[in-house]
Amino acid sequence: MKKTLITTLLLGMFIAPAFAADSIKIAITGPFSGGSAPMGTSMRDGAKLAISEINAAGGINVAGKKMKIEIIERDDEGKNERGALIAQELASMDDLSGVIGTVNTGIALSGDKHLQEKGITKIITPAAGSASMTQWSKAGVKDLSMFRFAAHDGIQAEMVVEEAIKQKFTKVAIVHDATNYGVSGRDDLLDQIKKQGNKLQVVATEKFNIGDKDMTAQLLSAKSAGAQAILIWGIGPELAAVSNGMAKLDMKAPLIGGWTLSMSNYIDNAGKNSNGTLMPQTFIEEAITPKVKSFIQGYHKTYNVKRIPSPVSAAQGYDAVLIFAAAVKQAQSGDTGKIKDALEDLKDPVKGVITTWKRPFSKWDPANVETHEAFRRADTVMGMVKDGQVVFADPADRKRMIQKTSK
Amino acid sequence: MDILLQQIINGLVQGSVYALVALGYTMVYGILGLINFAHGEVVMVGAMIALAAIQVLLAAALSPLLVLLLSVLLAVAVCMALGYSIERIAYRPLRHAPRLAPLITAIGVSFVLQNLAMIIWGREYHSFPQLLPNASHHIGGAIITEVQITIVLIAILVMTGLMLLVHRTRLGRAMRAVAENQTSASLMGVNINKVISTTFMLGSALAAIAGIMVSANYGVVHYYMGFMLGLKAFTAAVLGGIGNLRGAMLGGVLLGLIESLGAGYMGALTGGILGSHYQDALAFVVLIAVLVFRPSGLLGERVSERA
Repeated sequence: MKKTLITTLLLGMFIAPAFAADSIKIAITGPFSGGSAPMGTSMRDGAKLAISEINAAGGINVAGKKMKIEIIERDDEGKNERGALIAQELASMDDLSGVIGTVNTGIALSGDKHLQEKGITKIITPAAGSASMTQWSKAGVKDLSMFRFAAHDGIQAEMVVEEAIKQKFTKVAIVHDATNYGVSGRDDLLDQIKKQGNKLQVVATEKFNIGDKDMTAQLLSAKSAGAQAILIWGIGPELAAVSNGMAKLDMKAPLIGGWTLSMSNYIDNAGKNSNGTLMPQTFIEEAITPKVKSFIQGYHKTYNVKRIPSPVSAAQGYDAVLIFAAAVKQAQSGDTGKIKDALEDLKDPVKGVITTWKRPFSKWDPANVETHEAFRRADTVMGMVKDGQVVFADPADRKRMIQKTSK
Repeated sequence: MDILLQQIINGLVQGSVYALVALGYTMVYGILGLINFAHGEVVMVGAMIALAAIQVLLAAALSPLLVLLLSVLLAVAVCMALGYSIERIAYRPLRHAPRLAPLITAIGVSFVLQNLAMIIWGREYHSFPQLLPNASHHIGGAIITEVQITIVLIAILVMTGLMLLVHRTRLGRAMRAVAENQTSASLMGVNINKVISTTFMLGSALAAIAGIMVSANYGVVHYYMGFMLGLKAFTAAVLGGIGNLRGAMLGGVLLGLIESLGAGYMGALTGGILGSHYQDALAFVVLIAVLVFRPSGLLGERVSERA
């Protein structure tokens, strides 16, 4: 009796993977709690929206069989050490088709090596810090299974510096948090200021820590140095502390910075002080085309909200799933290595809510990070906070986005 | 010049909050010789309760000032009950245990409160509504908001009240007696348990007020906000001489000033090697320096209670 039980169990173990092959397993990771949560939950919920649409239509057609997508969710809490543990856990799963997610650049730096070692395909979104991709080119990796689906900080810093020059500022202060994201953002800004002809003089460079609430010391030094604008790289709660601190000190200098300035916990905690803040965005929550409209309405209805906590993250999560599914279809397999090859050469265009993606990635070249970066400058617009919402800062951008998504 | 003045104003505001919280540490230490590490979490609970009350009351369309007053009262009441329960559950059974035991339960209580708050209110940052007018005043080139003025004034008021209570009332005399010698005090007819409970409740009331001040000043509430604030206030209490009420007030204000001036000028003084983000580190450097050079703090331990 006992023997048969063990045999059945053993048999079961061998048979189980055969059943599992009926679905495509995708892990979604990100901070679903804490200061970065608006980005993490929006990315996850956007991705799940796409997955439920795919599954409702029967799944992905793989070798004559309809395969549904199965989700594994992991909350990294925005902590590097949690992120590394989750990456190790995912790397040990044999039937995992891929990973979508990661919000915090530090987590990409601490965890992705475990996935890369096992050759597990990952689409990084919405983490934007340059370092999460340049680490691989610096290491000279020949075959990379990490792809990024976000406007990286190189593009964003370029736009921020351009904006400051366009507004005729000459003296700026750079204020950033002390995380990998903030530090790499600062370096990108300095780099761009140099590239764009040193038209901006950096009169103060100030740092703050995650959890800091009082930024007066940093702001005062920017104020006394005569900064006309604050270029900033940080995450929602601390960005709000900066904005509120500026109001307290009666500082009128505009705040221009990374896309995180569109997070709901920045806009809500800074209240009316956040009006006029400028930041690069890949998606604006405005129903500019029918496709975008149905996405926004779908999100609001499914998750019972009136505003997406981080529209950029939601749209990127959604489009990332569509691209991943297209790669599965092209590879005709749930094998993560084959999906990687397909991602590097997607034949059919993918109609997303951000744009219609035509061959977003190409074969990895360590000398050119852009091969695994989906976003170009043209996919990005300037957003502005207005009464609790992020809107297009420039009407021309709005027109351009309508054309792109309806094509 | 205006920059220096601004840093001093910020230091004073921050320092008043530290002083209020430090008083809670010092009062308990003065009487029990115990460091109540859960005190920082009481500050957080005060802020959270006030926020919850404000949200409910604002929905009832009351005037902002009345809303604030009612929320403060509720937060103070809840925190006093919390302080009483903490003492009753975690410290009283261990009153005659080795000193390390209550220290560990203190840390345990701190974790429990933090996690309870996380379960109830989540890990999000909640924004604290602006109830007082947000007008700001210019003084010699520096700016001070009405919220900040209110914080400093209320802190002075509360601390004066506390000093009067300790030095001019029967309860205060009993507290000082218990601090000096529990056995003798009980032989003189002082109800020790009652005095200790009252001390915890008084400290917790101050913590609730401090919690609301911090939240009103920065506009955010978070389940983790009490941890760092508690550590800083503890540093302030040690700086002034733990167990000494005047010391806690002096230490609080001093620490606020040191932090603010340090953060403002550290970058310039070290040629940019250390920036203003070392603000927190500075507070603890001060703690270490005090412990090395003047272990009993600036005003010495427990003197006022011996008077």
